[in-house]
Amino acid sequence: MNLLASIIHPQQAAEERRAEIYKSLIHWEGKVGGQIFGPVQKDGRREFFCLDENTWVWHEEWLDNAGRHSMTTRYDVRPGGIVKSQGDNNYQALGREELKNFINAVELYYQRVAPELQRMSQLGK
Amino acid sequence: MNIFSPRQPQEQQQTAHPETAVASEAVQAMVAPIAAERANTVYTARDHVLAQRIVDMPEWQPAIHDPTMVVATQQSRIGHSVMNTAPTPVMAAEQTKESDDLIDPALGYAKADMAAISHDVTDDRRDEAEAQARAAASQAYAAQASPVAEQPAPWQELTDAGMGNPQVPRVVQDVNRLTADLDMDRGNGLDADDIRRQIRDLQG
Repeated sequence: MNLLASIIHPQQAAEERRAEIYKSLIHWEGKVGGQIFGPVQKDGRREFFCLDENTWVWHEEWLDNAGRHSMTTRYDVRPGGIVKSQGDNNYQALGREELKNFINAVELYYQRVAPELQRMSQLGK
Repeated sequence: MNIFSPRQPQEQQQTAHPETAVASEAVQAMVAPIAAERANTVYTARDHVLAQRIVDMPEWQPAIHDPTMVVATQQSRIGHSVMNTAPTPVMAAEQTKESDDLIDPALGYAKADMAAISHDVTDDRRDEAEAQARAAASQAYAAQASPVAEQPAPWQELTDAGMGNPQVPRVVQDVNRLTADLDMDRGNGLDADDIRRQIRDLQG
């Protein structure tokens, strides 16, 4: 958004700015989260991040002989447990090993991301 | 493919393989609050960052192309006293280039902030945090995953209290005594078949 637009529509400019920063934060978090699982192949991409209070997302892109693929897995945290959905598939329960790895990843993500976010929120105060 | 479970085709994951067996409801119910609490903390912290940027720092956008500001922001965040002096243009340029690799340049100070954060998470710190987190998560999970296994057997407390094991059949104790007797009687004509027969008799 240019300077003139932000003067004429300050509220809209603020909202758009907020959306941009939010997107940028998510992108950064996803990048940090993607490093938890070790190296990604050269042409691949991996992001793992917390979307909101109840949702974790893992996005993976990879290249093989069949071409380029991508898969987004959504983990929904519910009071009674965690379920995942991939693509158009219905929700399915996590396996025991998957659940263990998931919670380990969440813990690592939290250890890396939360302190940095808290520090960022202190800037300018 | 799945980073959380052993790599194998999707259809194989649906089988009752021990490593991919569906986690029990009890385990799920214990793990879910942890994931929810972590997500809530991150989400709230992120919201605070957004509020801070929108409300308190409306002026940061105009300075986005000032590489000195980029580095200065990083230094203040990282807290390196050695960097109190203004950074050289080379440093600033390098820093900006690395920042460009991370974040959309159009995002201004957000780029600088996040680039600083990225640099601030050093390998050492990351390794240490990872090791600690892994250990903690592993312990927490192990403790939560098998609460039943942690329970003592019904008779264990009695055994520990020196009251013997009421559930262990008396036969076993008798067999032990018989074996001792047989040891004493060794060479008196008893052979292995005799021993086995007597044990069977004792076991009913």
